[in-house]
Amino acid sequence: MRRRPALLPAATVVALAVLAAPLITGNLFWLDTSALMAVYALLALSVGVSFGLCGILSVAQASFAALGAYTTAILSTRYSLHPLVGLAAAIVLPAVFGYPFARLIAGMSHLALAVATLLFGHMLDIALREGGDFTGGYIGLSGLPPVPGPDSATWLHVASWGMVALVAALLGSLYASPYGAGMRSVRNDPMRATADGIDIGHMRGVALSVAAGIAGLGGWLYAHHVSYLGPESLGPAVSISVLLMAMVGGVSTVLGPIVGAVALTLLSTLLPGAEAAGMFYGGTLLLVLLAAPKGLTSLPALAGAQRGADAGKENGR
Amino acid sequence: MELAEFVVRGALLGVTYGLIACPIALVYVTSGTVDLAIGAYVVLAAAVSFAAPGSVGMLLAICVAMVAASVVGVLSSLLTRRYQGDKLIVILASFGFAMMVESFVLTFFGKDPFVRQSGAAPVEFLGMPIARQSVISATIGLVLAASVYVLLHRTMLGREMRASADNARGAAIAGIPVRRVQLATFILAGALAGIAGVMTLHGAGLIFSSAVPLTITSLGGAIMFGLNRPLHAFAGGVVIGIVESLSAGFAPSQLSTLLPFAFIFAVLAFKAMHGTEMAGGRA
Repeated sequence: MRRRPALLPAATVVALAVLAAPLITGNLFWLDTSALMAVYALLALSVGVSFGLCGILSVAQASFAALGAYTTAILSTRYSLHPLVGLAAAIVLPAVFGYPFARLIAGMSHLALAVATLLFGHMLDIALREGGDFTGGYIGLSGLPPVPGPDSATWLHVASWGMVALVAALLGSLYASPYGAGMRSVRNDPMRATADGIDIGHMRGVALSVAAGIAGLGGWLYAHHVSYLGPESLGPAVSISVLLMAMVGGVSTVLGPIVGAVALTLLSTLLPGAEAAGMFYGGTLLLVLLAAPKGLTSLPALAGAQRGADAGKENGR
Repeated sequence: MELAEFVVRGALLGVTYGLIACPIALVYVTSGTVDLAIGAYVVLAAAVSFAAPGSVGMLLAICVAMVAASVVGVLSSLLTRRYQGDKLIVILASFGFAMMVESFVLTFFGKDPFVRQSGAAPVEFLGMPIARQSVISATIGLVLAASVYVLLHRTMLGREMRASADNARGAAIAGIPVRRVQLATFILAGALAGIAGVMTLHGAGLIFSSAVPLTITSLGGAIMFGLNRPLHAFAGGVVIGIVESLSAGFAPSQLSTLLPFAFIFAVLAFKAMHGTEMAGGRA
């Protein structure tokens, strides 16, 4: 099998972010969109780790992000702690929560597991709404401090895509490592993985824990970028959107979820209204599933294979 | 006495969940997959019936739900062929379609609740006043569930449906048009979901975003007693209705909406721990 270049996805992210920077500098709309894109890219990467790498079809990624976002929001507004303290807490808390949660649901079939994660998302949603003053209830929490650093929109672009590139680099190394191969075998054939001496339950726990930590980072970025957080901000609907983004881009690679997040966020800026977004997201997913089974990032390889097949036919004649 | 009243009300409410859980199991039995857009058909039918009043509107609503379901039926057939029977892809695709339908309803029917109260006086049932509409709905639901049982176990089509799920290749060799039978099941599921939508419109009502909660509640009910038995799925839906009604009656108000979800979660976790999981195959 071809070796997977571990740092290529991260390098691609950095290159594209640098290329995009001069185009969008000074345009507040695009700088804002760029930061949101980075948030969705982090959440989609989280789907990539849980589903693409380890085969856990979790539809609760935005809820893990909400855990992280609410943690930093409560720490910074109620206890006036620095956002960087919130950053550590926003990554650690979902990650620590993710492991036992995964152990609890790891024995379920794909379908039951998806339902269980959906249920978790809705339960957290209700808990946040009923949380009274602690979570801000229906009104949410506002007045969060901005992302630390120079007070400029360009810095936000640099910081947020820097985070995406960092996560992509870490994941690239994970995906290329023997440990990542073990996780992949849990997804592809659990029985074979058990025979190879892999503790499936533990592996799924680790994968979901890592995924939850990445989602928490996305939640932190969202909270301090938008500086407002309500139950709708990172609710169950966002979980579904980021799952579709990861699937559209190609869920089993590092670059795929990022491409999907960028593509669908760009698409949604072109739409007349937010109401119609679901039709385009869902429609894109169906088209991609039918046309390019491994997502948009597999299109070049797919075209190459087609050319090869055509050439083969020519030669055969 | 109060307890009994909540149980009866819950069972009447649960008939709607049962009516959605039943086709979920039916699709699972024939195609080995699950249509997660089923809650979206319920909402779509309710929206259409709300916009077009009268019995013509109801019929139209059920037809629209059937058309929507047939889209997923065709997709399922295409994707199963393309991915060599990976059931998970069909589940994901149906989820994508659910998003499309939800957004369609939001765009064209708005975000106001779809509900139509009937002015009829409540009827006495075991000494308690019960809305006439819920008695009618429950009767329709029970009759439909019984018909599904008869269809599946007493007719030729039912036998073909079960054969297609059990061993698609063998059924095809035996001359059963497997794909057509599976498509028919999807459309039948859409019809049942459409009826559930019209019933809910005249009962509790719903909004565009009810689709996903409806799907997971009914799917939870379907999984509870075994996803491969449509009648058991119906019973599971009724049980969840009772849990919901009891929790609304006796739990503190902050917890009342959370408890039914927690109950389904606990059932799923319990089943997974005891290895009695019947739901979903290996990807």
